[in-house]
Amino acid sequence: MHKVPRIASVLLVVSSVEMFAMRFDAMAADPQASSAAVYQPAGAPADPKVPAQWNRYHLHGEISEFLQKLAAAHPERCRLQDLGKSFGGREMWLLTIGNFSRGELADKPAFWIDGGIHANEIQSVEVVLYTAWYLLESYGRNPLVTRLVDERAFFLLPMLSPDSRDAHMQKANTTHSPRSGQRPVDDDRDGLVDEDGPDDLDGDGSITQMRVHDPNGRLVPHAKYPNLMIDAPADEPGQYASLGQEGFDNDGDGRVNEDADGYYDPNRDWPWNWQPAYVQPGASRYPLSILENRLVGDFVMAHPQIAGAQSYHNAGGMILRGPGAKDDRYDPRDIEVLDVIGKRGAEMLPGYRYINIANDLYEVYGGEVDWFYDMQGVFTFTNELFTGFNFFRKASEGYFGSNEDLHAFDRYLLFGGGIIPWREIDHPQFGKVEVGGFAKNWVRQPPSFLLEEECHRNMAFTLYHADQMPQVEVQSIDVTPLPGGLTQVTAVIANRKVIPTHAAADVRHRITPPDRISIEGPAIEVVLGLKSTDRFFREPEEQKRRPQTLEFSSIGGMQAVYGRWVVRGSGPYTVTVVSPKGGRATRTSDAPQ
Amino acid sequence: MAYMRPPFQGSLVVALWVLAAASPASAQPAIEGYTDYQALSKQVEQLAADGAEPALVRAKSLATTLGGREVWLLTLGEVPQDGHESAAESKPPHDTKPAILVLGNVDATHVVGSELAMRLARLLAEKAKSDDAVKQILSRHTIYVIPRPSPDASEALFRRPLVGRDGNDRATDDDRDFATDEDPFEDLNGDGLITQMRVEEPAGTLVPHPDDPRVLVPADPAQRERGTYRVLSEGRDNDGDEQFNEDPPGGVAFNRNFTFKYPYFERGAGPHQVSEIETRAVADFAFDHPNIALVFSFSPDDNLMQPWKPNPAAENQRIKTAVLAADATVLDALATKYRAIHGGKGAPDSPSPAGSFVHWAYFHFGRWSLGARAWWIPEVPTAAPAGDKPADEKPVSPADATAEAPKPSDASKPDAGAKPDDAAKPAESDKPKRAEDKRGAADRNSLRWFENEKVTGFVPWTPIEHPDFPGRKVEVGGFLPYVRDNPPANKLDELAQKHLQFLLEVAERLPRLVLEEPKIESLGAGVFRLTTAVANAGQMPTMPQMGRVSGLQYPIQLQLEVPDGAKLIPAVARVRVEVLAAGARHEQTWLVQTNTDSALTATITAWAPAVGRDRKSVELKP
Repeated sequence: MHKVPRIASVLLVVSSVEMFAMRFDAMAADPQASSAAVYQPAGAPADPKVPAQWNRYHLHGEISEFLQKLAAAHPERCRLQDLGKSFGGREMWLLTIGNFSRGELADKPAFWIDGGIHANEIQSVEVVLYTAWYLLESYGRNPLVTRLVDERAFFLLPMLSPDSRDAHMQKANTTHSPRSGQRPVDDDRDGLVDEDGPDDLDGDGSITQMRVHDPNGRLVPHAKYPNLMIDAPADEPGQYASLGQEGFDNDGDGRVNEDADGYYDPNRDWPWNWQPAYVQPGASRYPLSILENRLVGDFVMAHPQIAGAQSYHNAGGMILRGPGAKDDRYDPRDIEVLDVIGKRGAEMLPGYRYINIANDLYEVYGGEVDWFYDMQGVFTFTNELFTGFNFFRKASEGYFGSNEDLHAFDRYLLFGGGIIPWREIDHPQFGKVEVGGFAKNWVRQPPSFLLEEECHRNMAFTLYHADQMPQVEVQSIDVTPLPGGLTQVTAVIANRKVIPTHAAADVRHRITPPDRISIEGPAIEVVLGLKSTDRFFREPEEQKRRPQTLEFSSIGGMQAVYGRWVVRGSGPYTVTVVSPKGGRATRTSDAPQ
Repeated sequence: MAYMRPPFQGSLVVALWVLAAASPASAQPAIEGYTDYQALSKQVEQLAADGAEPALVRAKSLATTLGGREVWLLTLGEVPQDGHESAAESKPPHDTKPAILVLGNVDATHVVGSELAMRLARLLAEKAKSDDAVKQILSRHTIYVIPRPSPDASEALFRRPLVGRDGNDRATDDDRDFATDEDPFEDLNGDGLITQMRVEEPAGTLVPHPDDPRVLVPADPAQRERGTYRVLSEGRDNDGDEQFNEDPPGGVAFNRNFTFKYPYFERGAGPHQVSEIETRAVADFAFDHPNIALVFSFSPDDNLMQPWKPNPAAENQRIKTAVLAADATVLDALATKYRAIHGGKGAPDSPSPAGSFVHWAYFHFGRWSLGARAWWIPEVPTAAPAGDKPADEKPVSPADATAEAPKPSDASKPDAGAKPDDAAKPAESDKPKRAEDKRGAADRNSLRWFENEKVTGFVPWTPIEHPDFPGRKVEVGGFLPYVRDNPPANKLDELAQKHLQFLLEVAERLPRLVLEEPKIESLGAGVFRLTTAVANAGQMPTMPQMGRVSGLQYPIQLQLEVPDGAKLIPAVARVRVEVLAAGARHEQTWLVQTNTDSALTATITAWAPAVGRDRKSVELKP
């Protein structure tokens, strides 16, 4: 006979009593009666310590100030650090969020979130800022947020390409530029760098399109939306010809706009399945040769506890998983895990599709998502924020919505604020031409009134993902006396989350150490150790080498593993599980009679 | 993290040392006379000091490694008078001339490469005045020499015990067991050398070769042989995982850290491509120098003795992994010349190209890339009667060796010496009984060569007590590291002369831009038609096809500059010519309108950083 051991310690669980106390404090701290005291909206708190506005976009300097305020207002749960300076000398801010007074941060599974790797994809920064703000301001008010901040760590890097973020906002650009960083590159290899980019001929801050009246051109204005140029019917003459993007031949080589801000793509720069630029346009010299990426790569490689990651992009309403290239394969067991989370996300994000990059989007070699998964063993998604679905809450064409929908939305909801009408200018090469088209602050970016929703829904998906990171627990310890003064100790180690402690890719490439389950006691000697994935030990495996610490390559999602020791000496017995990505837990049992 | 050591270790250490003291530590490695890091640094500084006037040689460090050593760069060449090809950039004058980049030992164990690269630099500097060919190469070209790209790893040659090592000073987890450097080699017989050990065991797969019992070869069941030995590298199983010396000190290998076919997660590859201080420094130097036309590396990854084979069927595949046919023709011509100058035969096969620098330089840097092993143990005839062996038989190479000196790459395999694919084919019954048993041919050839050359390259098998094999017969012995990849120092000068000769030959063949005399036609009313052609006067195309495919090589720019008072119709002053084959020309016409009665001078320039430049002035007379 054996008896059920008394539990000496329990896992971290926030009691509801404690949480209500915190909430009460927060309310009591507000001396003035206001709506926030009596009627908070569901969602974000109305009386945050750090006020924030989620219907506009921010420059690097404004964001720096905001992050410093957040860190100052929440020192017990937030740290701000600069990973290093970007090419242009801007801070690479990294925010760490977690409950610093509950356990070591390094022992907690961590979630990585970055934004703005493609700087023109501008709302991908705001969603990271919103997440940081929400986690800190809702702590103690919202049970899920409180539990996540207590149990997990979050690393948030809002601006991966900060120089180009400012460039997008401060210089003339399109909604699509700059995707590259600001390091000069001689794209056309003529010995001159960035000598012929687009030019803002009409000085309105946006790079639009050029057209010229041409009786032999093949374009005509759209009947309902005259700013929209469409192909003339095949049997009718046209009125205009397109001259491409706004600009002229700056360097006298006869070509227009052939060497803009030097083109390298920060998301083709990651070490897994990397290929040079002739295979993968945008690849730079070698993986992590882009300064900002190297700072991030070095940080991530030094933090193996990162178990989940999200890298925000725009646009098109997609929850993307790898692989990026068709010659690459994800392990089917890992795809199952990604499917559980991704499909949930597609429900949380109306208009978004959960798809994989290589087959459903286009091929990407050297993408960040694949590096996280294949070389760090991290389950990772990239959300492509914003979708044409948002215009009229129905499906629309393409990544950004159909041209008709864009023009209709501009007319009826933006009141003409998103499209610059054609106007005539003098072009140095072409003479009188017209410029016009989409303003740079729209098409890929939500307008003000849709931004906060975009931030919240994407954060919600990412927090769901973060909550599914593995979390190991010592569920029980069973002690049975054996003949000859020996004792059998059996521990059940569970992971009641969707994500396993090790991706199949992690196990295959031996990326992170195994989960180690050890038994200790003041007066025990381990005689042998058995491992099993079956609670009845029907096919146990003996671990001959160092049996005191049993090693498991992984603990699956919603699964348990079983360790058993035969020991000499009396209890209590302390069982500790240490998982590089699943946290750590300890439990002590009594000695048998 | 530290692992528990097995409990029986301490008591036997004493016994081992006693044994070590008893055995004569006679072996002086054949590589005496090689240059360690300190001496190399002095040589670099001396060469730069001697060549400082008239600025013929410059030395600088590209980076300081983890081990605190400099990655030296020597720049050789005359300073051009008129160095600027573009107003937008002001470059050091050497960087405006077409260049050859010479790499020393990209594989750290191949120290001969470092010695030869250094000698090449010295010879060029010495002969700068006296030798016409040298004078020409230094006036037309810049020669960059990085004699020892991985100095931390190379320094292992100068330490005792002597261990073959290609990894730098980063602590790595070679066997991916989540411990770093936890199972080093041990010099069990105290001779200052890490060689091998053979363990007698019934389950062994190896037997002594009938002609030379020092050499162990796979047992041949057809001859009713049963294996009796297992061969391991010399040392202990420090971490009790039943593998020997699988994670010694020595981290990332320079020649496995580049992007071409990068060997993910493999020993020596590093955490990712170009992750190391020295690999990044060399790659960045290369990318920062578009004037590099050709990369010449000393490396076991050779393509001069055994040129790369194109694969025309796969030529159109998106990712190129075989030399492009057009480039193979050019490289083959250079390789033919190399073989004629070198004179060697039976060069060993090249190792895997995964992460290799020589492959990177062609496939991912888009330049002509030449790899020279430079030296290997030549074939030494057996004492057997002549005619015993067919004359046309391909000489055996060390790559076929059945019991190699311990290399880190083999250390993790339990039977490092045994390669089943080398098992001799069953003896044909119609052959005479004393026909040579070809197993272990490369090893036996090495032993014959050691004897002829009086090189200590092999330690006789001597019994020791091995704590991991209590009560078993274990003998330490076998091949020394390095001696089969690096020649005795007295052969270096002659090799250097040959490689200088080859380098001069290569430089002579490099492409060269020549502008033909422009033709001016007056069309009246101040309008002129100006025609010229730029030609490639060299014997190689202006860039390899791979340079064009990779988009990394600069095309030729052909530019007309006109003074005030003239304008171009249309206003296109500069055109690009992607590539010119050897002897090919590109004709270009400009239309110029002048609005003055006086003569104007226009200038035509043709240039590409890796090809060179030519300039002509013309007068437009109304």
